[in-house]
Amino acid sequence: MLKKLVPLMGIIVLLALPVSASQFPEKLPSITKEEAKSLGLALTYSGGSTNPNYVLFYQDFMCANHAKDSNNHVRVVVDYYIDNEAVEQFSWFIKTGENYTDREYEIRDDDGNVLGREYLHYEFNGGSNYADLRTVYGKEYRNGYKFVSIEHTYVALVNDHYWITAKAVYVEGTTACNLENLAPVLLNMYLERIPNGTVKVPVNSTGVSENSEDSSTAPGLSQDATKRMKNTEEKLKGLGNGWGGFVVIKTPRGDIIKVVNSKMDYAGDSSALGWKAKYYGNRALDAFIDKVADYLPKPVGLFKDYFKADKDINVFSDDEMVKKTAKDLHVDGKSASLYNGMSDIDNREKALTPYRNAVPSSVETKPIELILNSMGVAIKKTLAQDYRWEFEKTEEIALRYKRAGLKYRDIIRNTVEEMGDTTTGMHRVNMMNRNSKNDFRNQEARVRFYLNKLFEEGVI
Amino acid sequence: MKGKLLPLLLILIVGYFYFSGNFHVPNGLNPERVIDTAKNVTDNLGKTSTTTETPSDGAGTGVDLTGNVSVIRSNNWTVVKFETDVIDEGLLGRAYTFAEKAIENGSENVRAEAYFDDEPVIALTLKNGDLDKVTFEDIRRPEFRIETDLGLFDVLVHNVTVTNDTASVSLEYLAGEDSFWRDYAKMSLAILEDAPWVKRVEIFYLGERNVSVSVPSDALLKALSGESSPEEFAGEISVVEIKNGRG
Repeated sequence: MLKKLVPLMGIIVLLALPVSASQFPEKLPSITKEEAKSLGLALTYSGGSTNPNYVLFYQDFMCANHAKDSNNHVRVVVDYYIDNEAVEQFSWFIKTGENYTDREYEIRDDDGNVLGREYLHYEFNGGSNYADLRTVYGKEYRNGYKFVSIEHTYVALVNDHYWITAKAVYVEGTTACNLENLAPVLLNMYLERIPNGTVKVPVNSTGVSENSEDSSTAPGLSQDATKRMKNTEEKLKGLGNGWGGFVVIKTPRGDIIKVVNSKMDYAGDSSALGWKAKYYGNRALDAFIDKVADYLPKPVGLFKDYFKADKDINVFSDDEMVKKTAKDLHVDGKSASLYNGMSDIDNREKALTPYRNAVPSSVETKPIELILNSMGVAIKKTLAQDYRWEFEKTEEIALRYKRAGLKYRDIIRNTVEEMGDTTTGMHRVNMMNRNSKNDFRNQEARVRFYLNKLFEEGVI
Repeated sequence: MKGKLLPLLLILIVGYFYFSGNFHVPNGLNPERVIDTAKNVTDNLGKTSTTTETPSDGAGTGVDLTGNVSVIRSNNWTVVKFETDVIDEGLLGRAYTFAEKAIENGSENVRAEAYFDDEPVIALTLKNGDLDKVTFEDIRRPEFRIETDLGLFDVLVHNVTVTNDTASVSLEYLAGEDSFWRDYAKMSLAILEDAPWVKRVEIFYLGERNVSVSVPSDALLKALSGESSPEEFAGEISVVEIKNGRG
């Protein structure tokens, strides 16, 4: 069947091409991977087609941190028509856009009982050479289940030949970034790249959500969730007043409140335990929870017992630096010594030192400073613990091969391979790759290092 | 036979591309004229046109602001996105230095965002060229905010899921039994602070057994404020062993 088509295809090709191709522009606009990344997006697909009277190019974007099964995306499409089709597309869009009316249906079960409602809501804005249509499709059940999907299409007509659209499609509450605000930003980037193009679509600031004080819902949150957020925040402030204070941190979804146990100028030491005490330490709470525990089951099999949570760690090591790391990060000796050997973070910190005082004192930085400094310690602590986790995974696998009777050389080869197969791409492995120094940025180098240690210790 | 098959296949492939008119970028296979348009597009993909992408020149402080930096101008905004390897307060100064530069270069409004790996961390916003009125924002994803905030505890966080209704964290608890429930309550507070819109906070403990421990946000707040008895609070906490584990 296909073979018969071949000559036919060849003829079509020969006839169609030379005529039209010359009338197309030399370049169609596009967005690079790096540009997408800088907007917090991942460029997931680029494609297009060439046709007798038009050429088409499109690109798909998703949030950089989107969930694996997410279908939320923005598609930007540029068509260049040699005929009047672009103008017609645009006037059709305007005409239909103005005529959409909201609809609503009841959802009933087989017996005719009303279970909820289903609705379609349209918002349309038209201009002389750009327009946008927002379609909200929702289902609301009486048991509280809710589903809202949104399609927002921005379109522009340029020089009567370019028809450019950017469509954001997402399910409310499931996006990792603000696709709807980014769609017009992407569209404008295309528009800027059209020779002699002057059309631009209006953008909410920079596509980065701004906090509008009066909006009834925070970005990405339902109305109910927004209400709960406000309510919880008031209660957290009350709690903070009882505990010693609170800080207010601006976020894209509105302010969040962190209870702290002392005034903002933290004078305690900057160890992990120090920070933990600042945010969460409260003797009255500890005493209360100890009583609560009497009514709760024993956490058998749920704790590792590496050390006691609220105490400085006594590491028996000749190495003063290991002792210091163990105390600073509140980790066991093994994690501390692996961290000292492999982490690169402390070296890098020096590079930022010159910027410590770059912000004038007139600018309020205290709350966010607090967040960054404690987060820095948390990341180091996590890194130290991750090394131990990786070490133990290696040990577990190596021991299995040892018990199976493999030779030392084969134990090493198989362990390196299996570690790669089972943990590559894991978030914590990526973090170790990124934050380790020199050769240890490579997992295989770390695994070989662990294996050497295990050999020295006589384990394998 | 072989000799004839190859050209036939080639015609088939090329014919298919021509016939369908489809191409996928990048695709070096397509010869000749049609795909010229496509090729221009492909070439264009490698370049930035109206956007300037600058490896920074050190901002005049003599220190290299190394790493990936991109600058995008759109309307009267300049957006600077930069990667950082280190998290500490020096990041604020770095963001501020970028903003100063953008203002020097004639921008009125600046947004500077810092990324740790691919994770957004903080953002600076400056409007109308006023370098004294700068606001800083925590732009971590709620999931990443929770993960990093729990990093102060003796835990290995495996996964964080946040919806409109629930925040759920699966983790291994590394410390001892004595502090297990104390840390449970404190971590639940941390999670609720970071996702104050949720109805329920769940911690899913992974260990020799897998156990989900969850509590309604209201009950947690009430207990922390000293408004419930130990027995009442314990009654609100749901402890469920999950036999054929998640996570």
